[in-house]
Amino acid sequence: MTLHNISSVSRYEVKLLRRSWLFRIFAMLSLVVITVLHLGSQANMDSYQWNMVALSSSIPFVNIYIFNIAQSIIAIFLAGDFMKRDKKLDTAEVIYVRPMSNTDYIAGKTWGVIRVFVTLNLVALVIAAFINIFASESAFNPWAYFFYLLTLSIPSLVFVLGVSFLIMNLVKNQAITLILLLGYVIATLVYLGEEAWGAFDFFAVTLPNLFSDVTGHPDLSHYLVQRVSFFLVGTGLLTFTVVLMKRLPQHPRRQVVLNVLGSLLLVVGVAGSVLYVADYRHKDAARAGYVEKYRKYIAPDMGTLTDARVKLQQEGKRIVAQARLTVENQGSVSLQSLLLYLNPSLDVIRLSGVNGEIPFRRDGQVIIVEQTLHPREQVELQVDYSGEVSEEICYLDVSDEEFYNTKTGNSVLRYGKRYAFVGDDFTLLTPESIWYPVVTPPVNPVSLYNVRKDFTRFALQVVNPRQAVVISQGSPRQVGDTLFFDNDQPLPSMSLVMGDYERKAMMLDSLEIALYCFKGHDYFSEDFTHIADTLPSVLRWARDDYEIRKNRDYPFKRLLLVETPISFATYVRNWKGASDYVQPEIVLLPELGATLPNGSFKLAKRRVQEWERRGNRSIEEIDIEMRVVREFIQNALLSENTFTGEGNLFVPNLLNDAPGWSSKLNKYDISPLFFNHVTFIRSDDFPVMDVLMNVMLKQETTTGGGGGWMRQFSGMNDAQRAAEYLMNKSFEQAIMDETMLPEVFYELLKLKATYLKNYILTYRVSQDFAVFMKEFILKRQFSTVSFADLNNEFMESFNINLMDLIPEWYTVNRTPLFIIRGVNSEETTIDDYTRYIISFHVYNPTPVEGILSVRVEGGRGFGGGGFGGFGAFGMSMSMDQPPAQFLIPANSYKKIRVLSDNRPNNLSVGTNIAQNLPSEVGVRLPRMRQITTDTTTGIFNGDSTFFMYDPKEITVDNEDKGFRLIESNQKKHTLQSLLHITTEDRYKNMNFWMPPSRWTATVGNNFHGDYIKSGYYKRAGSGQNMAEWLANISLPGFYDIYVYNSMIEFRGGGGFGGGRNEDEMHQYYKITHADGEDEVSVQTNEDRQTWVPVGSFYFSEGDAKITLVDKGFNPRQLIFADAVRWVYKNNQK
Amino acid sequence: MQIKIQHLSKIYPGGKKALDKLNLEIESGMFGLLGPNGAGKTTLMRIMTLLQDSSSGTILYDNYDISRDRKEIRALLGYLPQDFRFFEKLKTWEFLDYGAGLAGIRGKRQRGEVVDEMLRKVGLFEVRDRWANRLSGGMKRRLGIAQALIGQPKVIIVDEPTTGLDPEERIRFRNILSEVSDKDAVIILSTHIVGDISSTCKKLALLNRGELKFEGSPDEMIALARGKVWEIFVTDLEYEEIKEKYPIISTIPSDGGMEIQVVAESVEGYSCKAIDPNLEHAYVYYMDFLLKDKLNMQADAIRETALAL
Repeated sequence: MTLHNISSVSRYEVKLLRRSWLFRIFAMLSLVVITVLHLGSQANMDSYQWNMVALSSSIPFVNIYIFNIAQSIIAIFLAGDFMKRDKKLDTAEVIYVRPMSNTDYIAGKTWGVIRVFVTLNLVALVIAAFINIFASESAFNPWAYFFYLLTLSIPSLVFVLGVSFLIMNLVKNQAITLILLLGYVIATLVYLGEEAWGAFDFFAVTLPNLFSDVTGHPDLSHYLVQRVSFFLVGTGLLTFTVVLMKRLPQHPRRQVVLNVLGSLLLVVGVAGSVLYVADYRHKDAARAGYVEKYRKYIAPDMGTLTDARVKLQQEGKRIVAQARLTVENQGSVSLQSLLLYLNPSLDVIRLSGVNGEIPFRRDGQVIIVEQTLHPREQVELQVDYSGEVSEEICYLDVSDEEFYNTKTGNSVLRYGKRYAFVGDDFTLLTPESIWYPVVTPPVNPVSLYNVRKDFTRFALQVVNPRQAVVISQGSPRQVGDTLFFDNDQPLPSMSLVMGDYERKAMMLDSLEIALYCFKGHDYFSEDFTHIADTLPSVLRWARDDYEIRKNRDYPFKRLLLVETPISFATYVRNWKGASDYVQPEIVLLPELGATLPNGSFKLAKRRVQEWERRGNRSIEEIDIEMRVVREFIQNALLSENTFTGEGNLFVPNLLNDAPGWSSKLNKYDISPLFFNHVTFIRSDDFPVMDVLMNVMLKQETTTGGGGGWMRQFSGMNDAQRAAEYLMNKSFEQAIMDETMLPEVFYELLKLKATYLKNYILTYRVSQDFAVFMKEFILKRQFSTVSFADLNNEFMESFNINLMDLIPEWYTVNRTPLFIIRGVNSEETTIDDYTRYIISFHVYNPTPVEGILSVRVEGGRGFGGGGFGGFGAFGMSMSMDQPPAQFLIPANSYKKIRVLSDNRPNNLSVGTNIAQNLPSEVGVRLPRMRQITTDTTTGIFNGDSTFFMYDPKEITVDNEDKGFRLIESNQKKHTLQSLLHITTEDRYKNMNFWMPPSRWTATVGNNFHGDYIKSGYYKRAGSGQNMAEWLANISLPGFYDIYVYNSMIEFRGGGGFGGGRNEDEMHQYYKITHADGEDEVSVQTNEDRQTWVPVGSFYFSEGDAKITLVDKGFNPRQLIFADAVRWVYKNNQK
Repeated sequence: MQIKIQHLSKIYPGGKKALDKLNLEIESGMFGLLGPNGAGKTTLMRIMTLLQDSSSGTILYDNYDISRDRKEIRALLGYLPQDFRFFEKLKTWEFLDYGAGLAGIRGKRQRGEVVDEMLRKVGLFEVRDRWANRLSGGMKRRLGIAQALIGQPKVIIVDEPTTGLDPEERIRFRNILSEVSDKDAVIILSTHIVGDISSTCKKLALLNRGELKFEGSPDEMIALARGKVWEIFVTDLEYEEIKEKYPIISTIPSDGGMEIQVVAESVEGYSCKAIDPNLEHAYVYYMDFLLKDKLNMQADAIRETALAL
């Protein structure tokens, strides 16, 4: 191999490549796409996302990420092209006769291709750097540019070239080669990439790859092994390409050498991948082993850790610690041996009691102490231990799939997952890593909800010779190089953070609020220069408001907001009720707020300014800052949900049927500081009770049914999915069901919790339930409470035995359904004041009882008139009045009458856990009211005639058998169907921006239905698609025909559905009657959500048919197919 | 430089024997390789240029053996294939520069000088910046020979170099080949255009069906045909008759009939005179009378055509 030859070949390969139009077009396209994506998502324009720029490695990563995929596709095309060129022309022969080796030639060609792509890559990186430096908020990190080029781009390119050259040589057909290679690329991006921990992902898009400024790459060794493996496999394949080259080798024996070399490279490359996979497997095996240990040792009777004094010193990646523990047997059974749990990588050096060393055994994370402990007896232990902290012990309850899933929403950025850090730069230890010995392990993989919380009086002593900032629970004091943390009250757990932090603190009355951010990471102070003086009042307002809403006071003396490296990860675990980001007193925030909603304050300020400017209002800088702070606190820390956009910048909504938002549980929600970290309600029979009670208590009393604007919008939401789940499964089953999404399970918890609360409220309890619960918990803060005690006290206060309800509530696996009819609103006079009686009939035809939460709303309209974009519905709710709860027995007809002080507009009936869809029924009340003198309210036996079949009034709904859809092109495939992406939801969210071209089922209060208010919709078409309603007429005669107009107004702007009231819209129906067929039209932008008469027609006995065709009055119109009605008029013809 | 071809055979998969135990020695200077289509000329040259392997036997370039010393042999070679085209996106000078680089000429400046000199020699300096595939047919051939000659190869192998060229270009091409090449170089000219060989080669070899049928100088070959080439004046009627009997080499219409040249051991029944043969006459005589292969070859050609259809 001579460099001169390689250089000569590569020099001309570069020229040929650069002059290829195919390459030029691809290259230009790539650069344009990259630039547009950078500008769209990372430059200081209106639409950038903070998570895309917060970290200094984000911009170069995104650049190489896109370039890597683009270059692979270009390389595949060009590789095929080159090999074809070499095959076809005798030109190659004049090259082949030259005194170069085959290795020189292939190496030269490859080097030429690499040179060109690297040059193009550098151009792309220069564009990125320019945007990075001059037009983005991201810090410039030249090292990241170099790193990604070297480790992401080049190994991928070498691999692609190797595969392409080899396949081209083997297959000898350019078209087939292209199909094979592009198929491989797509398979890698869509499916293979996520398999085997990314071992097959030659793009490395699934590998964590973003740098933390503090702790660097999240998993450098795995990453480099993977990248080197692909590089070696690529080089090996290129070597085989040399062997397969149709040219005699310089030396006949060289083929053997090349075969050996290629095999060696391939073997080493594959071995790297095998090692990569094996290491993960090893971790899996370790995790499984730890689970097994729990299974083996966990027992119902165990001690309680009452005191723990931990002294810790860090030595590089190791910790050396001593824990002095007090363990008490609070049970009634003697313990023959005591079990402690400690991180399995930490070696116990010595275990002693007051009388000297105590024998012990170690089995993984378990320390079996040979110490008998009788009931009410205490023992003091001292455990000396040291070592590195293994992260594999963390989150054993989390499925492997989720454990290794490094996606953050749909973002292309993968931060990695670290669960504990011990290093010179940074240390973070949470209870999950069991960094100090405990009696109750942080997780019970055998029975998830069966985890106790020990409230322990912690004291921590940290020897800190390197003067890092140390953060833990309790009041700190420093003596020499040692920091002491003492706690006034017992806590469920203790955490430790050490790093190079800046501290910003303020006192809010007696509450210390401190923000710890890494040095150089104060990116926000410059955005809040005007509110230094008013910030305390803003925070005070936020705290007070939250305390009122949650009906609970903040129980700690301090609230520490601590920045952590971006790779620090945790999970939403419903059995725990809190994510590990929220520790007692401490909230661990992501680096630079990268993944927080509203993380970019500059952008948030700009949006406020823009909003005010559009409304022609002027706003002071201080007001902008105050609003931004308030919104940030509300969205980042005080919301239980966080809304994330579906799809990402690179695949916007391509695979989703709705463009909207999805709601995820907010891992930074600080409500656990008020609830979960404060008390533990222990129930051995119903271990879920602690989490459930907390969920119940967290629900704000002012919101009806635990809603939110997303719930009522349309389609299926998580609450409805939860309700659907309960239609044939019990709460008990749900607890054991590991396949449920956390969000759905959380909604299920809320449903069950709300149901329980509402059930209690149906007893018309005299004392305020919320007040009782608050007082009960307050008296027992920072301690374990037995559910039996709660029940006893509850019985004393309310004369209700919760155990009469709970077993049935826990195991019932059916749900009721409610049909509501005869809604009426009347005026009456009570004490000279005008009041309003709202009444309705309800029928529960199921053998299961259920609860209705009834609320009368004033203010703006419900549904049809009030869909003024997002939020309008939510705001129209009257928040000040809690709903009235009514128990509807199984198989019963009831009449409900409620009183309203204010003029009512809408009736809102929450069906709690029921088959009703949507779960909250909204009915617009008539404006004209009769006068009544009957002022009785409450629940009464109802009139079944409201629900009787009436042959003179036939209604056919889309849920009925008489309804069917006729689709013109049923074979038409969507991208979803082609990719076999199935959505389990029967009903889809309404999509106004890109309405479907096929009939799509959705639910919403705009539709008619007995208990499922659903309908079909689609964009206006050519009239080829139809919906048909069939009725069986038993009474011949004239019938008035009505169609239900489900049209809703949407003011989203630019969307379908008309947009404005004045946009005229019609739907066209064909009425097939005894005298033939007539077409009628209904103007759907008027008289929404009501029955619209379309004329009288004579129908003979037998089948009658009404057909809706999908043509519209204007092309931007939506067509709705819902329900039609035949109302008998007379029999004269 | 001396090339020794020893017992060289090439049998293609399927059993077609392209070369059959060929033995041949080639000294410095121009050497012509003559033979009809399918005689094995191109196969021989591809083996000589190491573009393909032989089935048995070997070729020695001085002491370098093709089965062993490929790098050294490739360093000696310059090659112009028959169907020679260019990379679409290279300029005239770049094409030579590429060849020069691969021929081992280092240094951009040195390569530049060599390339420009060669371009001047072949008369392409004026079009050095033109895309190579936009050159005229003659220019392309000149560029082809230029790339074969760059790096001063000791063995230059050209396959059917003048096919399709007009006479002026053909003469120019032949002159370049003689003038520009190293005086000690072996130049092997494979062609079925006998004129190319007669005007340039001191020695030639005639291949037929993979076998060497003649080796010697053009004069020796011509001598074999002396007294076998006749000039006859015939009427139209006689022409039809004589065409059936003898291979006609040329026909010149004249008053009252035609003046034709035929190759024959003797001509009876017509007024004729023996004329001095040239190499073309000798080739025809050799093929038709000594090898008695013409008819068979025609039959083969017909069979091949039928198969191709």
